[in-house]
Amino acid sequence: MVYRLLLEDNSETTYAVICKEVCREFNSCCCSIWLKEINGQQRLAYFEEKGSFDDLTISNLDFEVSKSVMENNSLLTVENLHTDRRFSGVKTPPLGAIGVPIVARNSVIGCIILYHKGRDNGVLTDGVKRIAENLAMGLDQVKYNFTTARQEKLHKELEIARSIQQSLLPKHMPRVQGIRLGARTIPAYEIGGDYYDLIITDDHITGNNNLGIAVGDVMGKGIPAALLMAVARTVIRLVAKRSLPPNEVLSEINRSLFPDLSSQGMFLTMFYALYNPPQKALLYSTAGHNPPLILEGSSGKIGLLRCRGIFIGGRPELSYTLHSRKLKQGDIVLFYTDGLTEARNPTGERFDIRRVAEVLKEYRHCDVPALIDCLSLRLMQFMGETEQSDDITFVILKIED
Amino acid sequence: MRVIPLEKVKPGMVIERPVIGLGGKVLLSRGVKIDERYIKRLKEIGISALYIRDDNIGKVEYDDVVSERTRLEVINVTRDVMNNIRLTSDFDIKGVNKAVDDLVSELLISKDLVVALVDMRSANEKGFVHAVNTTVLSVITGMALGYNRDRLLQLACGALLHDIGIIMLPPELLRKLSLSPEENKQIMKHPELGFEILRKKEGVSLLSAHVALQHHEKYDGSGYPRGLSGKEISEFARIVSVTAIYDNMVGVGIGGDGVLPHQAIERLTAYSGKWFDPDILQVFVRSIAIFPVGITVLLNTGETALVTNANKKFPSRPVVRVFRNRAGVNLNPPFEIDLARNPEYFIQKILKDDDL
Repeated sequence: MVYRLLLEDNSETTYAVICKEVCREFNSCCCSIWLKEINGQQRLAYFEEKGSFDDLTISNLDFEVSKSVMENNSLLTVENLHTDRRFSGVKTPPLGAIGVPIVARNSVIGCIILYHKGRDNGVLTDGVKRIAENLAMGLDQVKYNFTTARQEKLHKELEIARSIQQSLLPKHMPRVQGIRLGARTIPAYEIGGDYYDLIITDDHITGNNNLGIAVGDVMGKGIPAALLMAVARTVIRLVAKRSLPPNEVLSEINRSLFPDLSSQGMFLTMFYALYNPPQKALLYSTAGHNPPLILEGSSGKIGLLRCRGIFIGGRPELSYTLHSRKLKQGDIVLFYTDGLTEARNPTGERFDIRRVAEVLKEYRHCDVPALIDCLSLRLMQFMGETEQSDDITFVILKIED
Repeated sequence: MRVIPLEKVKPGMVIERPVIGLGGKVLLSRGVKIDERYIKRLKEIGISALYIRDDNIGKVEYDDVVSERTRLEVINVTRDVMNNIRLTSDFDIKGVNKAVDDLVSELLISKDLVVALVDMRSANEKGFVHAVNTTVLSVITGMALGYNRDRLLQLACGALLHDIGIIMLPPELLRKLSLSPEENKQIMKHPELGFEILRKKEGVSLLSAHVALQHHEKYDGSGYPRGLSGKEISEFARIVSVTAIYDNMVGVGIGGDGVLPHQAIERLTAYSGKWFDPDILQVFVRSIAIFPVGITVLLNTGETALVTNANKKFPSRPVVRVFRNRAGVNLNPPFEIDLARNPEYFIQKILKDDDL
């Protein structure tokens, strides 16, 4: 049935009909179909028996359920959502749920969720699985028709590369004594080579764990830049783990990556800092990367962590200068890639380091998450309708009070 | 429930949050359908925006930090105090203490809530509503500073009556748009005038009275009447100097001149260490919702959503209700995303009514 409907008309209306039909066939109360996207997910169709705007319980829960199905890429069967631990913290009705990822060419492109009142002896699950298989082809097509023309242009492989790249970035902020950390990447439509990492290093001499902060940018765009970023990440992690001073870390990374970089005529800029919690000291070196901003909490004064160094891949052997800075309560350090300062508004003006500094100053009393949200908001409002041409990445470290 | 500027309000729309009118009375209650007559009346009393029910979004249940009933009670008490002082230079402290007690009790119970509603006051009620809002914001700041109940009560009393000296000034002076240096000097007397009333009043703590005296002092010593600086200014007064100005900024008065919380934060922070105690400003800034309930936002995923709930722990990560997808199609029904649980989502733009 599904297949035939989609052959006739592969549109959102058809998916809405499918949701409704699925509910009827399986005598269930709600069904939804979701599309997975580079950032986030889009609800393609939804049907809820006796659904109304006055009770969004299932509709709200459905976002969390579908997200978990697509993130885990596995079948989800819940006998009773109300008593299931996975969804504690969200309002849940006493319903069963079956969630099946929809897979095309080995990657998850969406999912279908069915909410039912009774027990499932396997018949329901098998039924939903079968529908998911039938939906795959049509959904794959829709994914590229669904939104803007710009996205149609995007090659499917490029999108896969993009999602792998995103998965290489830290998923959680490490907890480090006395500081708050936060980061955000805003990917451009075209895949780029932005990179950041937060690494807890092993310091065998002092027994302390330091925090390594790496922010880098592979020059160039597209698949080559993304691939190189992935390679660089592995190397950087291995080197950084050893808790070497930042100048040695950069030399070591250059030594490891130079052969690959030079043969491709590519290079990468990078800022590497090592934060020592007991001393509140930041050691840092740069390989041709933008100097981070530092805001003194006490005075509100803003400056740059100025330093010089040649980009990685420039020469086979490079040495870097080591700098250090004691941080104090309330100090904020902002590491970033040039996507942030080079972002433009519709009249072609750059967001510029001065505006970044201004925003940082204006929100310095906020917690790190709010600071990140406010900087993002100000940046995106500045850019307006301008297309973002480069990845934007920033990491914020704040010394707690 | 959406914030709609009055000039965009059309007959047939339904009120989602009561409008307080003259004398602290409920002018329009929840569920009332607006007609031309109401719109005209609202314009007259200077209401500039309303919380309106939107059928594409559904109803929004939001618990304010203070119940409507208590808010009205405090507004009424404040009005009585001001009227009595004008007539007899005295007022009933029992009423004030009871109202303040109720307010603080409620705030202590709702300590997980955060101030997240845009305040729509009418021009005529500005003074009373401002006093009450300043008190609510001050008590919340005091709670974040770890004050016990007794201190909160003293702070609340001081905040509620901080501008009481204004009453003693000639009313025509307050209506003037531009003042001569002489008149300005007169206005600048109101902290001392207020202090004199409160100082002598039995049942008002001296700490509360000092709020009236010192709320125009500035952290760097450039304020008045005495040019005190830093910790010379009482902590209560340092709190109220922040909250009173914040409330004046975000309150939507005549002409809808209010700014959003994040803009108010920018402006206040520009004077951190100059007008305001940085430590107190920091505590305050972290206690208010950055994206108020009822505003419409664009998410980084391209979807349009309404802010429906605030998160005390993460003031920039509210719950949003997605009602329009990236392709511009309304979702039926909408669904909510809790940004605190979904860090990959963020608000990239605050949409004005014209963008919708």
